[in-house]
Amino acid sequence: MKEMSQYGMGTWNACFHCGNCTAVCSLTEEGILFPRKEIRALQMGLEDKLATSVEPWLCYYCGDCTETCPRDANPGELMMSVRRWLTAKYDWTGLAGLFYKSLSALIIAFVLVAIGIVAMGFVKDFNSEAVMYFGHILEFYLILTVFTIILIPNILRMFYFTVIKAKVNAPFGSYIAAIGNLITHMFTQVKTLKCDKQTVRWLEHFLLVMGYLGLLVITVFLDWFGTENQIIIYMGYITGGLVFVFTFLLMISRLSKARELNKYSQPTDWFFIIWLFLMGFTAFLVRLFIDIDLLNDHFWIYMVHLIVVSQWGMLLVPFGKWTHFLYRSFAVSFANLKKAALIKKLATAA
Amino acid sequence: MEEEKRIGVYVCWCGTNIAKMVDVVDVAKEIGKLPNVVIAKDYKYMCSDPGQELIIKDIKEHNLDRVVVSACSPRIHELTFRKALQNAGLNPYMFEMANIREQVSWVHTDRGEATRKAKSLVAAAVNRITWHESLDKRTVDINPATMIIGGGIAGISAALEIGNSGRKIFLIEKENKLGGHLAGVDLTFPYMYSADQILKPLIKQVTNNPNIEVFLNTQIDEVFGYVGNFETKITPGDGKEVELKFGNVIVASGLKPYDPGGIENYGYGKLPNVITSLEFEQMLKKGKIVTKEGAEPKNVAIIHCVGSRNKDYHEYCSRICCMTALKFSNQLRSALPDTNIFECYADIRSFGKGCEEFYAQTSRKDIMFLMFDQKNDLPRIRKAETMDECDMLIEFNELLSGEDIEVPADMVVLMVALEAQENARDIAHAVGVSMCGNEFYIERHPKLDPVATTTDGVYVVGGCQSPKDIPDSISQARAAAARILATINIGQVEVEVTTAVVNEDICCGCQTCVNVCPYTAISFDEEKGVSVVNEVLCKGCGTCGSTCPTGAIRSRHFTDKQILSQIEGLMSTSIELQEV
Repeated sequence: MKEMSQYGMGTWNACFHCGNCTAVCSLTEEGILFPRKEIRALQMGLEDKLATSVEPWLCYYCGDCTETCPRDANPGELMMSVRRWLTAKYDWTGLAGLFYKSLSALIIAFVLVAIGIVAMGFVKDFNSEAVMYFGHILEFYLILTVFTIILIPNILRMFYFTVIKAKVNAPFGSYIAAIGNLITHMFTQVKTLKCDKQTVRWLEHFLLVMGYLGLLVITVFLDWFGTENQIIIYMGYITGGLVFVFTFLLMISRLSKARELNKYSQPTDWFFIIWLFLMGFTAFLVRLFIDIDLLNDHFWIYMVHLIVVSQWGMLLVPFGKWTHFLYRSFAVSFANLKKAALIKKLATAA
Repeated sequence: MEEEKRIGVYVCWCGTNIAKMVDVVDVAKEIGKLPNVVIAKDYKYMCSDPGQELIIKDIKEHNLDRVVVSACSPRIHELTFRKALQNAGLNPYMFEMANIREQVSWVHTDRGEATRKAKSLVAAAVNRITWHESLDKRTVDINPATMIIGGGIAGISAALEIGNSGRKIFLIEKENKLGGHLAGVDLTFPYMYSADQILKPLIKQVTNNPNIEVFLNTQIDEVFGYVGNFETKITPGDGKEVELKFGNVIVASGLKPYDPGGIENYGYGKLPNVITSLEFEQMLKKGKIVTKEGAEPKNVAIIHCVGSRNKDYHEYCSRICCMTALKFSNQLRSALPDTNIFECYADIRSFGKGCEEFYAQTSRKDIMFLMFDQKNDLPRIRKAETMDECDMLIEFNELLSGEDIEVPADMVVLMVALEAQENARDIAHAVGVSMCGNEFYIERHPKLDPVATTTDGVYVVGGCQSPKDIPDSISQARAAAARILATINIGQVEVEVTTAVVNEDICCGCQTCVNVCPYTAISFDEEKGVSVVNEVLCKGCGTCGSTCPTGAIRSRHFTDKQILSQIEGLMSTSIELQEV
């Protein structure tokens, strides 16, 4: 419990289990109950129970529960904190936990990455072609490495915790169906729409994800900064624009705290948004500088972009909030396995 | 018929309360045909001012000598209408009420049948009132002294309230000091005032007040007399008998903690570190929370509802234990910041001013609240093994998580129930108050008259009436004081006139009545060989009258003739009603 307060707010002690939060939640259903159940596990220090639960990932933080809570225990933020804790739990390297708990460790890591990139630039004499070539290769291998060494093992760990350790005994057919909704949810997050009054938020998020994935494909696989193809260049501008416009909007809402989910921000939340913004924005500027022939005189802008991208790729993607992209989507699948197992169990019992 | 009776009958609609289920117009019409009924009317609200004026006007215009109102329960408006009769110059006992609301319209669903029943009830009242007699009110003088039994916070508060107004108080306490249970309390919930700071100045005021005479180490045996004129003999600690005379009695004899030794699960008496809430309170007062081994407890568990809310022990809620437990948690958290605190509860009941807020604050102080099943699955405490690194383990199914858990504990505090005093029955007998099933004293009316009892001049306040917190006890004490000061101020009190009288010519002196009287109002006159009713003590319950083998005892206003003719009226249908 004390550990959890390092991942977010420590107000759950106030909960006296009236169950309003679970009652008002649009997503909770028979067999998949939250957030009261998770709060209880947390209050009682039932770490295993919490680590094996897939439910926190199913919450999209609409904030209804927090608004209804008579005790101001903030169940919505609690679910957010549990997700941070779970991210750290799934990560076999332990770095995710370290970065969540220690802001200074995170800053040191950021500085180290920046120094590395500047050193590389120094070695290459800040020759624009050499550096950009290196940057392009770096991005490519970074994605490959992070996926194979960090993310895939972590997903397997998540599967181990939430399905195997939780003793979910689902029929084989449901595994195949689960892969289907994995793809859907990863790219659309349609489940958010089941929450009340979340359409605008869903649209913002959807466009941001599309912009981000588009930018990723265009810069890494279609070589936006090197290409002559006009279509790719324009697509790059659009996707880059989407990313920095929507992250800018997100920053404003976090600052104005109008929505329940924006009232409390962990430092890592800010890193995530600001770096996403910087990535879109610097990419946009780099290509703009190329197009108006300013890049050679202002090569620093590419250096900044590369530093931002490296920090993003090496730190925020494998160990930070980015992982929710994977965990949430897999959680929907694993939850379906759980439901299938429940139905099977009830059928056997009957 | 010896003489002509002139009866007025009034059927009330009670808005729609009666009129929707009873054809009041028809009832009035039919009853109007009965012999001796001079006038029969229906009206929207008989109890309203115009309703009462209607009766007064009719009495004068039609020269009525008896009035029947068929409306609600006589408990509600009998006095209202008696007063109206008095204003019109009639004796208030020339009145009878037929209850066609609580006994008819509110409980029936067939309008025809309900109307028929209403007619029967009104006809019965008309039959009965024919035999009503004029009765005169009687008053007795009030002795302005008051005896208070119990020197706890309730008794002290009442004593000060009356004593400060200049009236005499005899304050009887069975222990050797004043203060009661509050003297053993450290801080009070929810505002954490020190009990000593509340109590000590009050005790000082009591001992300094010349009007308050305190008798310590004193018990009450028997109290004789009646409202305004009680007397008793007491033997205080010094052994000298004292005779006291007083006009009113306040019983503030308090309650006692339940002995948890009877609950096997908790091992009280066997496990040395299982203690009661009172024992823990003593520790807090001394400022030293330690186990029997003298060590600071690393884990403290507080178990709620010990002996309360369970059919095997007491079924009622002891009312103050939840808040006391939360207070314990607060004091523990301040004294031992690193100790694990477990509140094992059934339900948290934090009603009352400032209490829910106190609960909310407490729950944020890193205290683990664990819920158990109080009805079917009490926690079990057992000695822990060496490897458990604690003294005891408490095992139960935690309801909010559904998990079977074991709670480590080095000290277990049992929030024991509060129950009636051991001598509750003796005191009840001495002063003539009734007890409910769990031996707490019964008030005259649970809502409308919460400190008076069915014995005039005897009041019950504080814990002897039911478990209570300090403000509630003090409120009751002062309420009783206000009631008593009001009667002292008038100087006289009206006593019941519907009492029993003995016809000495017929009385055979068997003394059956003396034995059955629940108010010890009948004594036996050896010289004349007949029973004598003390009319001040008599409540007119009628027990003697119905037991008397010779019919020598007659209950005023409930004579055989009145009752039998009422029954006849009830049994005959209203239309074919025969003259008695």
